[in-house]
Amino acid sequence: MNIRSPYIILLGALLLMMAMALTQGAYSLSWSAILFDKIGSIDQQILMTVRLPRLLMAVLVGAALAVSGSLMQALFRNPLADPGLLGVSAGASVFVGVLIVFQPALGAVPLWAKSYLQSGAGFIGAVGTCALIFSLSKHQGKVSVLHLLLAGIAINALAGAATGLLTYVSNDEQLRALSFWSMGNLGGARWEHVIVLASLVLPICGYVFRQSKNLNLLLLGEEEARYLGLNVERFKFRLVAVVALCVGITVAFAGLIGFVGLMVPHLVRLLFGSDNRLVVPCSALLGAALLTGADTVARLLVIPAELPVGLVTSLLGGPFFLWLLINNIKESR
Amino acid sequence: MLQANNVSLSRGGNLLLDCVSMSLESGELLMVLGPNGAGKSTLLSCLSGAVHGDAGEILLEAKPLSAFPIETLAKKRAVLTQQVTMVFNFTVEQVVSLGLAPWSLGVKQADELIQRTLMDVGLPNMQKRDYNSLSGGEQQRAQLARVLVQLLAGNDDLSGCYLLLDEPIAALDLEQQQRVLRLLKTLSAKGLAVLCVIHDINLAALYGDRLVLLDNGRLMFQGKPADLTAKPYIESAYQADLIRLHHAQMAVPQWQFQV
Repeated sequence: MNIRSPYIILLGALLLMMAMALTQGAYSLSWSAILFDKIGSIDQQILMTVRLPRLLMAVLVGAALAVSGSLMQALFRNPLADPGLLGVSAGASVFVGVLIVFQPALGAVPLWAKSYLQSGAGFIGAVGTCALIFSLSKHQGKVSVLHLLLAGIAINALAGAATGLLTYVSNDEQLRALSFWSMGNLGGARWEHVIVLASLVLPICGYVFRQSKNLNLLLLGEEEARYLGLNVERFKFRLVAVVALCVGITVAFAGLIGFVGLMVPHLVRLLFGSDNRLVVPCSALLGAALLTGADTVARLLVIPAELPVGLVTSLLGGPFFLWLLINNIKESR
Repeated sequence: MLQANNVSLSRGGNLLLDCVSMSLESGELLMVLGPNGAGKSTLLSCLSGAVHGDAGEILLEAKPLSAFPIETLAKKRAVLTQQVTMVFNFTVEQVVSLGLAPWSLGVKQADELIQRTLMDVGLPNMQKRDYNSLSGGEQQRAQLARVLVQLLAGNDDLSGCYLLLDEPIAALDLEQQQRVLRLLKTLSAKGLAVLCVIHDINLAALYGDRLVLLDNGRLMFQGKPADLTAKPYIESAYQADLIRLHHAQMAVPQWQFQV
């Protein structure tokens, strides 16, 4: 296969999904009208304040999650590794849960501030969890992947218990808000979110694309990578930081969106091979396309309401994950 | 020259290396022998800088090994560990090309080098095969090709280069054992310093320029194969009932099992 063709295929898929996302919805927009600037002011308002920021958020969140997934799988040398494994998203959930449940105690919050508060809480939770993970996994100046995994499991368990406790003490309305948030939603997308996301996700993607050769070295094993001249400790530390940042920022703005990080890199490897110089950028494209598509489906299925997008990705991802597992078991026999 | 000076190392209360001093010179094929658990791989880890001894020092060209940045080391020293598994499916060519990481080679130049090296290790026309579909012996040779290209890519003169191999022929059949050992011999004749941990005492005596024999973390012998006959070094280290013979073509000792 020509080296360029995976990019062409995936870019085509992404553009198609973006076009669908812009035009389809409870209120359909005409594609030709958008292209030839013949849309009315209401249409334009829908496009500029609702559809476009939401679309860009889906693209950025999808790319960030999928790239994080490909990094995690290279770091852990395990195709079943997922960004959620570190416990960052679970940690962020607890903070958002606390905010939702105890918000009445803060007094009246203006409506416009609500979404910022929620994102802010998610981000603080994510950063806090990252700091915790670093301090737990860095032992004598080295990042131990095993400790990282165990710390992640412990944090996930703790955060799960804390979130459970919060749902226990919350009232019906808060419970609904909590469960909706935990299923992921791109509905609150604003241009401010897009700008913050883009200013973090795009440089991170740039960095990671340049490092994809070193990710390949990591696949040989840490010792071998060191013999090939890679500063493995520094590299691992940076990878964990990048994943934590990506997951943190996406969770803060879009809630919990499962399976994109696990599924997308795996699909890319099935389609185009395991070379990370291809897997990482292709994951970004496919992740963006997939989440954009899933979000469009989420908006279209139960018009005029919408499904949480995390539900759609999990509905797609659950069966895929099972298939992966069964295949893995078969192969190891 | 790569040198270990009085290196000692203990882990979990066990003394793995006990005051070991030895050297690896340019242009020689040095065989490291010893029973299971004698400290062969540990010595290799120390020499490669992966493990730091509790006492003693490792010197590379008379400077402490730790004084070299890892990027510099990667250009002059390659290490093949016992088992390298690839979780994700790479082609043979992709695995070998990982050895080029310290260098920036053009695509055509890299392809030529990889093809030539794969031929040298007895894997011609295997570039596009899935690494995980290869047999254990083929995988071992593909990994050998990877560490070879790491040194061959940027060094016209191999005399400043060091190749450390941990049991590179363990999974190979007779033809491939001979091929790999002859290849190592050829490379050492070009100036490369090769250290090879090996279990077969007969092959070690036949192909090695010098031998190092370890037992219980201690250096029992260091010298030319022919000098092994001065004392029953091999017999006492391995605790096996052996008969010592001479090779039919070379003045080196060989051993057979007693029935």
